[in-house]
Amino acid sequence: MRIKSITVRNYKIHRDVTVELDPACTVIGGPNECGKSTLAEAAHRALFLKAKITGETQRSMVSFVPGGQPEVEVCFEAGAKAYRILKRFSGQTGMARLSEVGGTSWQDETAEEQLAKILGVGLAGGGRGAGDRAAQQWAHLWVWQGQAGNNPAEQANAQRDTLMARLQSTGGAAVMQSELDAEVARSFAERFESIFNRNGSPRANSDLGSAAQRNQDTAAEEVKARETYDRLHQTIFDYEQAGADQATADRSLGLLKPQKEEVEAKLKRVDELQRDEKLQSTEAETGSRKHKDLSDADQRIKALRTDIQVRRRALEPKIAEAERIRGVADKKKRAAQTASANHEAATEAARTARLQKELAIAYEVLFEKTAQHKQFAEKAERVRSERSARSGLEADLAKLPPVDSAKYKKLQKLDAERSIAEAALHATAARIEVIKAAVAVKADEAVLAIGVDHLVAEDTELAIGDIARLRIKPGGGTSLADARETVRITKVKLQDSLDKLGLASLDAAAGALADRERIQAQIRDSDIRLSTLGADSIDQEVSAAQLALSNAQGEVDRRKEQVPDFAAPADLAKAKELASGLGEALQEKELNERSLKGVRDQAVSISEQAEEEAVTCRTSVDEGNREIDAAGIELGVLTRTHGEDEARARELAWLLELKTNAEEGLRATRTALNALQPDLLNADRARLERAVNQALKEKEEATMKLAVARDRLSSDGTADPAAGLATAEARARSAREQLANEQRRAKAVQMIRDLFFDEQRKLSEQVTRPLVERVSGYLQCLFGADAQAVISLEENKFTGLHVARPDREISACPFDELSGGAKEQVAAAFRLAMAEVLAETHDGCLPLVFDDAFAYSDPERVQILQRMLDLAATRGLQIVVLSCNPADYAALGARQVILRPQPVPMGASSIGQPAPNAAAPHQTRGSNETTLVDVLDSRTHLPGTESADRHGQFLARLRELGGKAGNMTLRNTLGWDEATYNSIKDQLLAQGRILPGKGKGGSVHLASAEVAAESPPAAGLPGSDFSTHTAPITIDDKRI
Amino acid sequence: MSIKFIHTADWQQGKPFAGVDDDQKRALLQQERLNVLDRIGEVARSHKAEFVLVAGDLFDSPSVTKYFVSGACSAIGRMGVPVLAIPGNHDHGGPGSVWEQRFFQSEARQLAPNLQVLLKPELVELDRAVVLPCPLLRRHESSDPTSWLRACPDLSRYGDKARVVLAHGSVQGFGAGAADDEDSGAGVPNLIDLSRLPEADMDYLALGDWHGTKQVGHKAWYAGTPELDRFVKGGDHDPGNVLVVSAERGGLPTVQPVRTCRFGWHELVHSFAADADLTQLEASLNSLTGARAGQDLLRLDLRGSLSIQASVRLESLLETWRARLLRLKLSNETVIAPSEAEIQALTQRASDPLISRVAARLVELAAGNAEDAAAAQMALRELHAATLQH
Repeated sequence: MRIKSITVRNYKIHRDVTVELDPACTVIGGPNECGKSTLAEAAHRALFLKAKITGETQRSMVSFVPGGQPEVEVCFEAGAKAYRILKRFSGQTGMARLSEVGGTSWQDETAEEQLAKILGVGLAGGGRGAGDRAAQQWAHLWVWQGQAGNNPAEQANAQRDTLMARLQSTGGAAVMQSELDAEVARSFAERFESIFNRNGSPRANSDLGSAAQRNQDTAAEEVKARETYDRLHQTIFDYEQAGADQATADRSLGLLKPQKEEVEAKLKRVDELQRDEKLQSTEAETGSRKHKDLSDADQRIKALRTDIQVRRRALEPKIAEAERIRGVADKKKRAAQTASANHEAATEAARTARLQKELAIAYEVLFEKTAQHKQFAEKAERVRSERSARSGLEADLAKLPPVDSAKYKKLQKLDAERSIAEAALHATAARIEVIKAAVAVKADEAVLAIGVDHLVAEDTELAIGDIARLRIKPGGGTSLADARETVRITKVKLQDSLDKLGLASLDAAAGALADRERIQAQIRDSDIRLSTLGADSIDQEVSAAQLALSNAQGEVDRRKEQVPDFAAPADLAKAKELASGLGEALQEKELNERSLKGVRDQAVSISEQAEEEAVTCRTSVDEGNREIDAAGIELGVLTRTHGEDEARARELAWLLELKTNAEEGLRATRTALNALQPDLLNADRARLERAVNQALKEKEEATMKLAVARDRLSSDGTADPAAGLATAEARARSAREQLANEQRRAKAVQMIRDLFFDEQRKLSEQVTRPLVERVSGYLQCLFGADAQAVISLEENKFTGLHVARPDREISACPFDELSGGAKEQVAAAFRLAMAEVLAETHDGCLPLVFDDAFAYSDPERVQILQRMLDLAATRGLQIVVLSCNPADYAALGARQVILRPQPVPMGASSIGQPAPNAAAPHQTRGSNETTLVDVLDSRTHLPGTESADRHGQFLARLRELGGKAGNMTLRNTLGWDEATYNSIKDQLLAQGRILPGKGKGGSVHLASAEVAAESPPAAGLPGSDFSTHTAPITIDDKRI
Repeated sequence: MSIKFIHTADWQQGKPFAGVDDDQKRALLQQERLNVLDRIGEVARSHKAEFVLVAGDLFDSPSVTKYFVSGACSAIGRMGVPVLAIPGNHDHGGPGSVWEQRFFQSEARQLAPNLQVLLKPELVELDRAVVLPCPLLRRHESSDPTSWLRACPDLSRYGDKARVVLAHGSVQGFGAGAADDEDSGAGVPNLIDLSRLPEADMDYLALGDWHGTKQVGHKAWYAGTPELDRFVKGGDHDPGNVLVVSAERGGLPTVQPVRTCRFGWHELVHSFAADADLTQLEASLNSLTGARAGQDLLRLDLRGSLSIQASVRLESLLETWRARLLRLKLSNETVIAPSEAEIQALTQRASDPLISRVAARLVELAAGNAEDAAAAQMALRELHAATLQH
């Protein structure tokens, strides 16, 4: 089927326009609102909408300009025949006429039916929704504006039957699943889903799930039953074990008891023996000790007796000797006493002599000291007088000026200098001598003595009374003055020195000096005398002499008392003489004393020696006697204690016997004890006690266990663990088998379902292959040689379209995830492919109308997709592209028809008035030049509220901007995207409501009418102030 | 002096029949074990037996529940003759045994004064016989329970009273053993060495443990269980009787088995070579049980292969038999091997390409030996069913 031309009359914007379509490719261009879509819609309605349509659909077609009913005429070819369908949509009076060129005609309903038949569609029918239903016809071929990006699979499903039939016939005898196929497959899928969850686990409420649950439950029950059963048997085992343990313990006890008794008996015997042993041991010890004691005492008595006898005999000679020595000693003592008395008398004599002599010497000393003291006293007196004289001299000296020879010499020198100076002055100066004067002669007020030379050493006024005044001017220049100054100075110096010394003159100085020297010499003499006298030590010497004198006096006084009858000597000589005589007497007496002392010492020594000897001898005798006494005492005691000899002897014999008997008994007892091995017996007893206790404990435990087990075993008879276990086992087994069955069954269901899925997939691949290949072919035009389409078909329904682009590593991108532009392009590819498949029942051709179908595609892609469109055209499809940018399709090599609104002079037209150029259609074909084809006496028209709103916004904003604005500025302030802006701008430009400005980037300004308008039209409703902007439409038809 | 008595054993009262899923059926099986006691009483009366000997395993468990204690005591009481029993391995004496339980003792006193449980290996003198009991006092006696009889006690003072040994355990080559899942309690047999017993001094050995009736010596018999409690294996096995024994001092006993069992325990192995064999199976089953329901148990081993349709029919057949039988113990190793026609019907459906393809792949999978094969076979059956349903 191929559309040749479309003629539209009184249809919305169009008054009467005819567009010829190229058999292959036509681009219908023109600005927005020039009626492109309207044209496409009209053609579609001519083909599919009943002419007698009423209601809103019908009303929407009515021309904006009164003057006739909407009419559409479409010429087309189908089945190698040419047809013309003419429909007038006038409601109930609507008319349809189908005529085969050069052949039959059909009218109205028949025409509708025949047309549907030719087009291969069902009758759309009338009534409510007829318009919408009709619009769905050939929706896969008619891409309405704004629907280009819809998923084409839906369209494909709408054409499914036809499409499948075509695909089966073209897909290499591809077969389709039957309804039964689908039903059975579905039933198994449902059964699978009723058995399994999405995650593959069995559903709880499925047979498999219940079987699994039952299996689990019965397994748990089995475990429980087995536990119960095992517990029973364990208890029985425990009972038996406890019984055995009890018996074992009893047996042990039976064996242990006699052993223990035997040990106990032996231990008792040991005890007895040990007691005996102790007793016997004590007895033996006592007997032995007593015997020994008595025996010892007996021995001792005998020994003592012997001892005493021996000692007595030995002492007798010692006693005699002691008495003899005693006599000797007494005699020697008496001799010593005599010698001592002699010596004492001699000593006394010597002492007396010594005292006398000492006294005589003391007198001698006293006399000497008296003489010395007198001597020193005299010398001291001389010193005193000398010192007194010297003091007088010093006082004299102190009265004299302190002139010494040096000072005097200095004075002499000063005087000499003065003399020299005066001499020099005299030699130089003039001298005046008054020889005689009646009146006083004054020189410088000083009265000159008569006859005295008055030295004039300087200018001097000489007054002679009042008579004359003379000035004497001595010669010699300055030397005179110098000389006079020298004199003065030397005089002063001399005088000063004299003053200091308190001297009147140099002579006085000489006298004073002489006095001083004389006195000083006298002082020096005095000093020498004092020194000779030893003046410095004289006082000490006097004191010392005094002391010595006193001492000597004391000595004499003291000694005088010792020698009462001593005749004191008169002087020193007599004293010396006395002392000497007494010395000799003393020597004699001392010699006598020493001799007597020797005699005495000898006698004393002998006496002492004899005494010592006597004492020693006596001591020895005393010692011997004491020992004998002691022995005697001991002997007495022993005899009293142990009896006399006879009694003692009897006692001894008895004790010996006692001791011997006791020792023998002890030995026997010990032998018996050793034989019993008491240490081992004790260990045995401990061991056996342990063993018995252990056995008792075991027995007790066993008894207890026995009781517990017996208690447990006393069944209440309500349950039989053995039967319970058997039942549980059987149930578990049965559940396992059932589960296995269900699993097998579920597996079978899954297997069938999977196989159905698999086969369905294969079938769908086979069926869709021709379509896939065609879609891919178109996609390759767009996306390169690798692009592939993937089409899913499930249960004969198209369920998905994917695009694979290996070059971009996209394995299969679902259609819905493609970008807006890509959606349009891929959908177009799919439609083309589908049309291609379907076209085979339409003489190999079907028209495809793309109304603004690539709005989201970028210019570059629009260029590329022309390859795809061209490929479709070359494959026999009729391509019709409606675009407001026909230039974009320049490369398509299509016929281009431009619908153009004709500018209308301002205020020239109004509703109901035809445009001046309204004329009969004029057609030109096959020309490459643009030709004005038709001018419609129609006003432009805004199709919808949205568009009108935007117009209003555009104009209002432009007005706000002062009626003129750059495109960029205006678009930014409107906040629109470029496409919208350009679209609305183009529309307004076309309407002449705005005019293009100059400058780069472009600008627009309001048309004068819009400048004048106070407010923009609200929604572009018919009948509003549109009247001022109506524009006729022209059509350019050209073949590029 | 001849004496007649009943020798029975292995009553196994209170056996759980755990393998039977249906509670009601299980109760029936348990109840029948009590019911058979009345039939034994009947045999005793009709044969004028002077007493009944139970050679062990009167109860199935040493901890049997009260119901079976009461039931058994009541039935024993009704027998009207002395009943002498020894504990066997299932109801062994000793600690925790049923014999020690107060309830049993009380019930025995009240309901079965004629019952004498011989818990000691001590001679029991009756009016006209002496009984030499060999009770099992624990589940597994390590020593021969009859060993006390080897050096035979001096029995001369009992004159011509028949001497009857009462024992429970296995003799060489015979014993209960672990027959099947119904006897999970069995284990190592308690071995009895008959050869070591002074045969001349004994007049009859009443043995228990082996559930079939079986003579194992000149004077030694297993009575077997009076009512079957398990599927038997192979031949030489004749359970479901009691023995009417006539014995006398120094003579050989006369033994007459009398059938007492009611329920049929059947075994059938059937191999399918063709679908037609299914009909044969049906016939076999019918011949086994006739028109009875609720009285038979069947162990059925199925092998071979069936078509899908036949296997579906088999399923429905088995359902029927499951209802009729007290128990169907099925071991079904039948392979579903779709027939050519079935395969064709599934795989060559011109109108349903998908089903055809899936079926073809399943046929391929089912032919293998892998784990998947069984699932694939089942899947084929499911798919087959689905194509019929939709």
